[in-house]
Amino acid sequence: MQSRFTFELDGETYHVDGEPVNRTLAAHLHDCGFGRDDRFRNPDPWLGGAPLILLDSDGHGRPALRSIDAALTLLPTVAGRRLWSAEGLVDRASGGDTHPALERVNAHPEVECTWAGRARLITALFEGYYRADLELAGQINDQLDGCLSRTAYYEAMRDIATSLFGESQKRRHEAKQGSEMQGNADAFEQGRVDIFGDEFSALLAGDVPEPEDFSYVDAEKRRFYRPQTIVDLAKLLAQFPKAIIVGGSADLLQGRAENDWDCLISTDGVGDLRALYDHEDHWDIGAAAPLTSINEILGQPYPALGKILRRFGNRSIRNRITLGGILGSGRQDGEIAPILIALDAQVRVISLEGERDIPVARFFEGNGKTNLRPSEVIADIILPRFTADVLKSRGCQVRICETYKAAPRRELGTGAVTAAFAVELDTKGHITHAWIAYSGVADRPFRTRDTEAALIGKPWTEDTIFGVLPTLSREIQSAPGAKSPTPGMNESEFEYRRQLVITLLQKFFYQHPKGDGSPVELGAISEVIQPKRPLFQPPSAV
Amino acid sequence: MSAVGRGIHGHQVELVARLVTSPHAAGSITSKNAAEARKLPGVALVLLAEDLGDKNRFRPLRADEPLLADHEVSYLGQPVGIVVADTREHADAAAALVEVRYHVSPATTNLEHALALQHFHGEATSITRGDPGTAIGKSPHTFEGTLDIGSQLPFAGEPLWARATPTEDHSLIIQTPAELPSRVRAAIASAVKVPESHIEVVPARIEGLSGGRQSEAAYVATLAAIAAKRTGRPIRLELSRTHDLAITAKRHALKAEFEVGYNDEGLVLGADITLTLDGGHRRGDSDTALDQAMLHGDGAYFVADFRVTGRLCRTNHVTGSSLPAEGAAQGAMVMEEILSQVAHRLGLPTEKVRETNLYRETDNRHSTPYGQPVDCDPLQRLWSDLLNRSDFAIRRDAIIKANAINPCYKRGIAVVPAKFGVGDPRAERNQAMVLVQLLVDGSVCVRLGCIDAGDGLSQRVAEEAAAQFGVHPSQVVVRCGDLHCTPHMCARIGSDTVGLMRRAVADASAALKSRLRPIAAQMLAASGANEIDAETIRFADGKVGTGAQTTTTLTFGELVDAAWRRRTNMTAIGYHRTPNLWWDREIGAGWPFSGFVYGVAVVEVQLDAFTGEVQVLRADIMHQGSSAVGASHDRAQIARALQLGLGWMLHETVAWNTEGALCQDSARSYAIPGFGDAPLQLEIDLVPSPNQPSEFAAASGAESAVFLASAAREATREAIRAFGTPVNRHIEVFLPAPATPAAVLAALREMSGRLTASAAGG
Repeated sequence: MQSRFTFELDGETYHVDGEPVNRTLAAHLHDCGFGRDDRFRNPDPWLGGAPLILLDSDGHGRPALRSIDAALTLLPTVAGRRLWSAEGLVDRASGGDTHPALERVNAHPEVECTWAGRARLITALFEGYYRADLELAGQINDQLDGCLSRTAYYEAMRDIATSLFGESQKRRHEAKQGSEMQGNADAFEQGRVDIFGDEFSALLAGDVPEPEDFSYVDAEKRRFYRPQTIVDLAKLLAQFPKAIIVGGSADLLQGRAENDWDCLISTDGVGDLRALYDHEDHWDIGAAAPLTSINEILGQPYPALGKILRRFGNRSIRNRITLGGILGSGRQDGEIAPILIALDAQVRVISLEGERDIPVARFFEGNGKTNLRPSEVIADIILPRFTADVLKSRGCQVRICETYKAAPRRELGTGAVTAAFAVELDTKGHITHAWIAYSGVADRPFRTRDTEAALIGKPWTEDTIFGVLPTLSREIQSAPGAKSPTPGMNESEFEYRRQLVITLLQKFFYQHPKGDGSPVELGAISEVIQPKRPLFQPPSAV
Repeated sequence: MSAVGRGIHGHQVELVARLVTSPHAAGSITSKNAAEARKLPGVALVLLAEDLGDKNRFRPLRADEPLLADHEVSYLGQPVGIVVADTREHADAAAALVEVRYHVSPATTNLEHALALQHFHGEATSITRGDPGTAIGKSPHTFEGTLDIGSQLPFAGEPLWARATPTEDHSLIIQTPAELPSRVRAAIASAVKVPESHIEVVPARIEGLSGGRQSEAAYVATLAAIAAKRTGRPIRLELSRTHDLAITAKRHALKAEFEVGYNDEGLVLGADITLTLDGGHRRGDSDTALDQAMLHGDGAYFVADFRVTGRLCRTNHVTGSSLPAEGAAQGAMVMEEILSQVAHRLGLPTEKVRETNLYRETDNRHSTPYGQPVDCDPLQRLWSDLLNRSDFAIRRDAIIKANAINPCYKRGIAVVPAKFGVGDPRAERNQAMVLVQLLVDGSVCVRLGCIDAGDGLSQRVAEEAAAQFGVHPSQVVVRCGDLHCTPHMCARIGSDTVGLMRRAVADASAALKSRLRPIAAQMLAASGANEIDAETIRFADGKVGTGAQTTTTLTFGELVDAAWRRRTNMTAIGYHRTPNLWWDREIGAGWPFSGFVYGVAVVEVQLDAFTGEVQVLRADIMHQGSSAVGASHDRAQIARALQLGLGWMLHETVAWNTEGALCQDSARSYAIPGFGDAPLQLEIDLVPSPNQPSEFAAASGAESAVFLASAAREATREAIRAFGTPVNRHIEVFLPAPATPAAVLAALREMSGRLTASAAGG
């Protein structure tokens, strides 16, 4: 057990000695007098927080520069790690060139009145600049969704992002061509080519920073552990049954950092828990894999999952928060649970006694309660693969899956209602299996089994959907905790949620009327922003 | 008098202050006991109302309001006591031990409630032209209606705080993010009985201009100052977000009731409008909001026989006039509602009806009901230019076609004009002072008392000074928030700060240049030039010469240096006040504004019939403003104001529960617009106005665009109507503001219900 540690910020080493384990990085930086404004004094994660850049790893196991919110990061979690602030984004290798992200924002002070807001924009632009997968105009929203304030000029921010990311994709393209000519294409594919020729790019081309095994005790004798293996984690949990598991610090987002947290166990160092494993008939999603990493791997094969992952919190929250943390907190308004139910996912929990798998719908037991026993920890989320063979073996031909989040604003808001639906149709277009799940209408994510049963064997038509609506309505009203509005919710909001239960199922049908799995574009947004437009279009080969 | 230095007690550790607040929105205090709290370790001070004696008044602003609640509480979160301790933990523990007992009364939590109880602040006042009652009676068509507009929270980036530091010479240094530092100083001076001259306010960097930092900053700073004065130690008082929201002035919710007469062309012949504003627990600043609402009750439209009556309701929360376009935006929205309803009743396009009713030079339709003339040409030109430039007609036709084939998503488009009064009906807010200093190298320092909110004020002032002295803007530094040099200042929101400041700079520059010209003439003559008339001396490109002598070698720096050596005062005060302003609330007449600025917005939205969610697809704004340097800042200001308005119109709901607690107590439960809510496409055209100095218009664009966002609500209404059938076009869509997804979905249900009913009936 050590009582001091260091981390590196903007190239300087910071020493921590006996600071409380439940202190946030933001609070510590504020006490150190860091930053030219009061950005770290009291940042509000629901307003974009106080982002920093962390050298971390991505879903493919390569180094990544990720924006994180210092207000949602417990101080000991950054032990031994490298961070940068918005102002510190200068290339020290080249003798102090300002990073293009910082340069752009400095040149356009009118896009944000406040330093805190500019810092959020700069870190979001910086992260996006190095993202290989940020290729389309429609992805800018997800990258910049932490830029939230009364003083933001969003449209100008979008313009800056479009041009900066376009340039970075151009350089990436040129570097790719260069590597191909030098016969280096493999290294490029593996991400081992220094594309931009700066300090940060060199780090990305290098090796993944592995968080070391680490344990820390603060001046109040509160402990923090960062084990390296699941077994060590389980042992610690057996030793300290009341310990708090720290993944992406989801609890901090709920405003909790209690003093009686006297033992914290971080999952950051457990490589197995942070990885995603591809099996023949399923995926194992490590409970400690950040949402961003999950989206990088599974966003394509599971578009509906990717869609809801990208709408959770904001980018810097998604870069830290984990499925284990979200499920473990047991919150009834969790917006990820419905899609996991529709994807027929299971939660694998382990302890020294062994492991057990729980279907997601049964994992929640209402009002923040879960099926998790003391000394158990969520290890994986098991996601079935719906290949043509799998479907065929079940006697069906196509699987249609979709999720919707209705929220007062598009990002960083808790959804009013999140719904997820899946149906499997046989060759005649009849429903063989159905999954219907909602959050935000009961005291837990709720699966409507009666309605599902009523759909089985019926044709995929408007009449079928309309036919089950009374059942659905009845079933939701009898869901646990669905009788009356929760405190803080007024009558019209309550009525609105009841409505959404019905209308979102209708939306699911109208978006997939053909029953062949290909959705219909319902709105006109794509005409306006062309989300599929590449940020950089290589000149066509002659 | 203080001859000693102003040293701060550097060795003294800052103490932490906490407020004890009322958990009830209304009631009387039956007992208070702080004995236990005072005994706690680390506690330096506990103050209750009785400890303040006759100083327990929030003067000079709201002399009727106690600083700490004494016998009554009138809103939830009202400060009852201050606790000062060495650490946060100790202060929290002590605050919890202060025992206050209440006799709770029923709270008046919203406008409807106050109206039912007939709780008002003062009497209703009116602005009347002609005889609306008779005109409406004689009109071919008439109707009555109501409109409800919700409140809005300013929601600054950080909760309010203040730091007060006593100095060795019995002065106080105050740091706080105040938009109006001179008000902070005045309030503190009155509360701690120290001359204003002994109080130094250092305005902390303020997070943009969304409001809620005028009286509330003065209030919090005064409490901190009292604690600092009593303990002799530096004090930091920091509010939680929840408490910040409770005590911060919110936008006034409004209920409008109207009676309208109109003809077949949609021309409104007579209108009688009653505006009821939620005036909160104290009258405070609400009079200004009421004035602004009434003065903008005509919108951009001429109604021959017109009456607007305004009154303030008394409720148990806090309202104020610190948000951009406060009052004005609510007032102007009523005419938009009326004209939409007229259009729908006649089956005419809404933009045609709006156009018919616009102020115009012809037919004597160019004077406001209170007598101030309207400059109609720019308004008419902006209107027709924007309809052209935004392809309004083409897009509307395309939308009708798209709506016909899309059963799930409908689009709507609407155009709304704004006529925004520049300045503040309070005449004292229409003045400005600056201090301009010339340094011997020819660089310029401009000092002003206004705070810089990072919104381009200092750049605009620097441009003006640079232009005046013919130097490069990089030679000019602008020091904002400098209360040493310019003690009086105007608030940023609600006043034409940029315009006033530039004129004050011009005033100071004229004085300085008149001192420099004779010296320049001598110097040029000495260097061999012919006899020079000092009046012909010009300042340009860092050089000084006569108009003809473009090849002069005399630089501005050399001239200033020489002037200093010849003992010339190189510092000047510049002052400007807007002439001829008056406003008489009693008779409802006056010339309250230095003029009007005009803007027009076209907004297109898309509505999701399943969720009621509205996405703004495109917004086009044409607004008077500068097209030269500084335009990027003007554009940004307009975009921000539009965003503020869009949030208010589309999703920011403010509600109080029956106990009088604000339901939206954090950034989580209160949804200000985010990146993804912004219009997918935004075109802002700034049009220089021939009749007015350009900066004049630009300054207010930041506020009038708040109102222009109401085009989004009108477009949403069009989209909702698109779910009806052509046969049922006359059916009115009732849509509150904000048109939240829940309200939109409810309106859709209501309409489909009535469609079914009317189909069954016919």
